[in-house]
Amino acid sequence: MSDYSFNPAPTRRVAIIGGNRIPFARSNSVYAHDSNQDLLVAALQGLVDRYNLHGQCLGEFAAGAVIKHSRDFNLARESLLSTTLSPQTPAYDVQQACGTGLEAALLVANKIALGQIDVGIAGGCDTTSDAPIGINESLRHTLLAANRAKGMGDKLKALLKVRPSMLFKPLLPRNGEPRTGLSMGEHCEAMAKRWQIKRLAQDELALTSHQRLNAAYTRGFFDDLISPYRGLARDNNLRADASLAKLAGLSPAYDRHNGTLTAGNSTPLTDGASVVLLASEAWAAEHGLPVLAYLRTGETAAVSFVDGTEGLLMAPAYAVPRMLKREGLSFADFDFFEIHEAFAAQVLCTLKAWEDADYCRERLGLDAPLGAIDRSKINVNGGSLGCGHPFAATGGRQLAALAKTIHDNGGGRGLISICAAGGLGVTAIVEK
Amino acid sequence: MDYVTQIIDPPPSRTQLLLDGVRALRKPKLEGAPLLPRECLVRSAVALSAGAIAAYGHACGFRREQGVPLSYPHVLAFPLHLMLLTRPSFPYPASGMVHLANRIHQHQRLHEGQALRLQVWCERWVAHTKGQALSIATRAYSADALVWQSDSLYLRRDVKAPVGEPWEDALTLQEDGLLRSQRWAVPADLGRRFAKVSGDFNPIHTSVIGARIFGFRRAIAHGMWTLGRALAAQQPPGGLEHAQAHCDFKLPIFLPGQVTLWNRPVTGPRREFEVRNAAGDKPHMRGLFVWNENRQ
Repeated sequence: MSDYSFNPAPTRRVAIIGGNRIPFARSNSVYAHDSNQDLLVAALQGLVDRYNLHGQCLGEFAAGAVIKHSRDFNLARESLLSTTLSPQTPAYDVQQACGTGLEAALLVANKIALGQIDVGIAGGCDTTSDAPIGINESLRHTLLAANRAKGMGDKLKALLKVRPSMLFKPLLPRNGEPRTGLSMGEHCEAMAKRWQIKRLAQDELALTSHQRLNAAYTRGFFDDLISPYRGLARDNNLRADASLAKLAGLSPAYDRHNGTLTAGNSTPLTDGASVVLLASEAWAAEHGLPVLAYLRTGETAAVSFVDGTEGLLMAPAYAVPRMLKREGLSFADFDFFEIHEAFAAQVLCTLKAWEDADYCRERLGLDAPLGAIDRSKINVNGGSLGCGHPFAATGGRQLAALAKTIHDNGGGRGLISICAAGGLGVTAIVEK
Repeated sequence: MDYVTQIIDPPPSRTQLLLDGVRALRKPKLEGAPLLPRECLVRSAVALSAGAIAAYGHACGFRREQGVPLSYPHVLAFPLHLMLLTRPSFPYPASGMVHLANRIHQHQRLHEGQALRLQVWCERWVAHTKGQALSIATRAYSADALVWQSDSLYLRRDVKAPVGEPWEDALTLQEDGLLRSQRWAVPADLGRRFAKVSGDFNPIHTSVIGARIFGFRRAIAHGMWTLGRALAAQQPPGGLEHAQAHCDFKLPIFLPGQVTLWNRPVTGPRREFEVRNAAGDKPHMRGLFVWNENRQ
């Protein structure tokens, strides 16, 4: 038996070669009849086409979806089998709420860094249009009891407990926290109140997101990041004509009387998929593929939100300083910040927390606050408020866009931050 | 006061309790001060059955890792409460007794399979601003040690000049700073579901017609469900050793509907809370939940 199975432990730089996604579509619009697998296949095949990976056997494909049918137990592998990649490429599913896409990338990247694989694809997809609807819980228990019963008589006896009402009360997926019964918007509304985030600041952030996304499309930034799908070439949530006046006209969505979160400064339910190609430098050189940037490291945190100690979406506030300390970096060392905009308020709460000396000392254990971030560095090519947020697809979208931004910039360093249900937060550093 | 100990074995059937309840709908007009019933009802060994606890826990949202729910022994004692309230010697109709408050203290961790000796008696009259209140004591012993106790306050409304000490035990809490932390759906059949696991088949909980007969526009949730739900929502994983749950019942929860839990961010093993309506402006219950406290 060897002393240490990773011996010698190689640590190689993980190159981000590129990414691909399909345009994101608002729920129940263009992709209403697409399954998670359809969306993921479209994004993955687009990547294979772009980098000419046809027939290649890669190290692995890791991907996931947050809202899944039980039949999608092997979503990544089944999707892979529908592409022109070699069917000998292994695949597995990842699920970490909205952190799924980035966590999948970190998993693939870690294997590349350790030398276990040379190249892999990470991704994610989600559809809330083709959502799973479960049968009624009482009906399910009755059917399971009938299944367990031995002999026809007992089976029939068990089935006699089926009531007509069971057939009309299906189990619907909920956009809420299982342990609190509150929707994510309601949780974020509470955070906004705690941090005294103004409505105008939220609307301004939402407007910027749309404007920057539109500008990025206009200058062709997404040309090599997006494959058109079902006649859609751009995210259909993008409002090129968005204005503060229009945003100001929307009524609060989660607290009608005292709320500040609206449909305009919150992300809508969205369908979409994204994938990212990661490889060792040697693999990239061998295949003649330029490196956009390197995925340096990642950090995941979680907060105690059920007892109200911390806001549901505040975990990135904890993950980032931990990661910076470990890497010996500060905000001044970053040129770009790719912060997932689940809600404008959640971005603003996190930014405010990092500027708050008391909070940084008491909650984050820092001697000095992390400080303010220059807004012109945040989500320079638009964010989730503009393009929408198909839960598991957001990480891949951000990672590919940030790598390309750094590449276009001729180098630099960027931070990715994603908040997720369950009080989770996934963050990463990309640089070149 | 001397109590007459009556061993209750077997426990009263549901039918018997319902019949007694119907018989106790009318009581002769009271002449003079009400007399406290003198029976102390005892069940010598009631098992904490894993199956029954699981069913109760499921109805209230307890998770298995939380151990025997703090509010669960009340369910075992409740038939005895009903027996006292429906006795011919009890001066008021049982149906008109409103559960006002409960004070639960647990002294030792409870285990599935453990047998409890339960004692239930009417302890004292309490003069309440709204009428004549009665405190029913419940004590649970295991191997001669008091492991769990509860004092339940029931009210007969509109009794002029109630007897007993005034009730000064109402929970007070700082309402400022209470935040909505949870929302629960209360389905239409909640009353029937909780009746099955609690043995409280009072028609005001189980049917709209029953509720109308007693003056409610719709069926209302069991107060003890609300308490159980609130404890389940706030107890961390792991069973409880020493613990207290105090609650004052306020406005009824009409079924179906939604209610919200209000408390404040944690500062230790202590929760002051309110269960309110969906909008958060009307209280259904006020409570205090303290556990594993240092009992010095």
